Amino acid sequence: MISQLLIKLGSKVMALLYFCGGLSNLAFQGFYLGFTPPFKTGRIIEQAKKTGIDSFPIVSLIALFIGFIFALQTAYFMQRIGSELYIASLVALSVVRELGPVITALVVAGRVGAAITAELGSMQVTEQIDALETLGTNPVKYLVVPRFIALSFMLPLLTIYADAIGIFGSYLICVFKLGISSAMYMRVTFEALLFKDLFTGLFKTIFFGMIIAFVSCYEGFNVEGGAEGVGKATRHSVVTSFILIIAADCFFTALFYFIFP
Amino acid sequence: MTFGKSHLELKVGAFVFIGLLILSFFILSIGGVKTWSSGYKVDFVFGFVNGIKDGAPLRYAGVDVGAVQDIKIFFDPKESKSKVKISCWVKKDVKIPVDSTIWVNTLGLLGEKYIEVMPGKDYKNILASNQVLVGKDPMPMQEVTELAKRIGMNLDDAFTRIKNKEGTIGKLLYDDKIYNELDAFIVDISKNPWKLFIKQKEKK
Amino acid sequence: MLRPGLDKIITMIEIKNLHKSFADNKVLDGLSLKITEGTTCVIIGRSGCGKSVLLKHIEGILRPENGEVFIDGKEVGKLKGVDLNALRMRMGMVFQGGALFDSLNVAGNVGFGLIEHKHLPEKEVFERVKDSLALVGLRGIEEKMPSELSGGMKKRVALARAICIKPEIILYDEPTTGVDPITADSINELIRSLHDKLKVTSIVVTHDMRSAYKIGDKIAMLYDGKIIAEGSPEEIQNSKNPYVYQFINGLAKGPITEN
Repeated sequence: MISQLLIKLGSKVMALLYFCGGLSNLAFQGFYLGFTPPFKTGRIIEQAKKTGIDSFPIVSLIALFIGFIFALQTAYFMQRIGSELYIASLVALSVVRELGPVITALVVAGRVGAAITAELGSMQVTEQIDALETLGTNPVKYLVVPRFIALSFMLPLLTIYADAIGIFGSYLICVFKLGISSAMYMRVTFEALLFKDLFTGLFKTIFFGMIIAFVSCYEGFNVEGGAEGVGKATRHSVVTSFILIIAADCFFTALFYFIFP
Repeated sequence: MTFGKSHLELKVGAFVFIGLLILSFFILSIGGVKTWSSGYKVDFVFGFVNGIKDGAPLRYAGVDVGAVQDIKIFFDPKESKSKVKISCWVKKDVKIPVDSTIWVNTLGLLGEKYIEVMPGKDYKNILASNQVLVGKDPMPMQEVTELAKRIGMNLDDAFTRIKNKEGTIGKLLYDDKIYNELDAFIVDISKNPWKLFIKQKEKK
Repeated sequence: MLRPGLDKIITMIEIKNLHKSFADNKVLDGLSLKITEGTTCVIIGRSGCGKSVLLKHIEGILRPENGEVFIDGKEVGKLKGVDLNALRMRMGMVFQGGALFDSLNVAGNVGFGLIEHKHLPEKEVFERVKDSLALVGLRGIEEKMPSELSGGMKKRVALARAICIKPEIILYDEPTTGVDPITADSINELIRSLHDKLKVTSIVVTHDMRSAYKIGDKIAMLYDGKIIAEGSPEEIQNSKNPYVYQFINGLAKGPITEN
């Protein structure tokens, strides 16, 4: 009984280590191949469109709602202490520092990460990945590098949009429902923000992009067992991306808090 | 002839461009970074700056027109004394006469420090870019307290002397003699108003 | 076994004592095989007996646990990066399901190797693509996507992709599986005619005996991780080996059992 539990635990730990090893191996290869010629910009642009532009509608919709919600939720308390004006600064700081980057990363992980895993997974199942190799093409170079570069460029970019739209959503609530003047709202927003806030918010999204790309590609490459395997890998890829994004966010927040206060 | 690829460059380019526009709007709107708008740099030399910080505002006649960009300590061999050079960025259209008074001021007692510029009158000599102006040293907090204490002690001394009926004010406030004489005089006058017109003869 | 046009017997592919296992499952267990330049070798065996695994070792996609694979004197398992890719460009592989890239159209698929490796002008690539498609009997489908093609057409396109890089060796993984008998026969004829036209060395993995007799110069039977019999189609047909006899005649009863 106990030995069986230990075996189970042991195999779980082994699987985790195997996953970490495989993922870092893929990331290392991706970096190495990403910075060695030949560079195929066409494929990067194609992926930039798929991951960035196609995610824009859903990211902006969610950012707008987050802006609404956050303005109303802060208003609840701020009205009690009679300082509605500071809703603007609170929303600006939370959106730029935290909500914008994380919400964008999670939405993209759900939307793009799942798609990448499913696509690469079915390519694996139908031997297309092997076919790439037989045609003398490194699958990591051909499939992973464009996605990883596109995601680490497009995620910060999407976050800029999400920040702007989130602040705009809160602006709508504050100006039209809470009666704060438009000029006042803008002034308080930009007074609260520092360059540091913008930088820390955008900097971490580069890493979120890499996490999404490498996790989803790794899961896609390691699909086993047909359509069911693709489904399983997709689910696993989204869950793993979510966990790693939040963990990385925690790490970066702590890093910026303690090291660059 | 295409190999399964379509032209996406335009879309991606537009997307990136608009994103960067929003980013630059953010950066330019955020306080503290004004390097890109047009203005000029001036240096002020102080002996003491009372803890002014990078990015502190510069007020000209009470209006925010610039910010502190750099603070440096240097040794002035003429006076053999360490001094502080504060480089400030000032908006282009603000003209500071060279005889302006400059000092480090505080918002409230413990509030934010800023540089106050009281405009002078010599508009023929305008402070040019990179020119240096010597500022009035603010009083260190300790000296302010010291002074207040001295004033307090002097006041205390004065009041003690007044109470002790010393000096003119003391006599005025505490000696009844003047009052009594005045009172008697008024009573006398109201009874015999003619006394005002007739020169009183000495009693024989 | 010498084919016309070749005056010397050169061993193109030599496999020595190849071992490979996945988890606890031994797939290849000391397999040895020699294939002469310019001949077609058909490897027969049951589904899941390791035929595709063998092809992947020849392509260098899988690395042997033990043993060596030599192609034209080069050991595949020891090659890396540029050298391996250079060797792979001398080989073409036709996958079981075609393995066409879904995201590219037919022209993109067929010209893939050329676009990625040979820096040719686009026009020339397109000419080569057209020629390759014509060789497999297809015309005017360059702009179609793989999802619009039938199973037999996919196999032909896959074949066109394999020959577009002008390989010296072509590997076929079950070329006639999953298509109707008429299409299967036309694919057999195609393999035969390509072989005659292009003078390539071919390895065909199949369990379709009609196809094996039709296209093979030599037939080898893979069983239990080893080559248990090899010879010309006639020799195999008249083999006394009970395993071979059971397999080529498709009998349920015999020494080969389930598992």
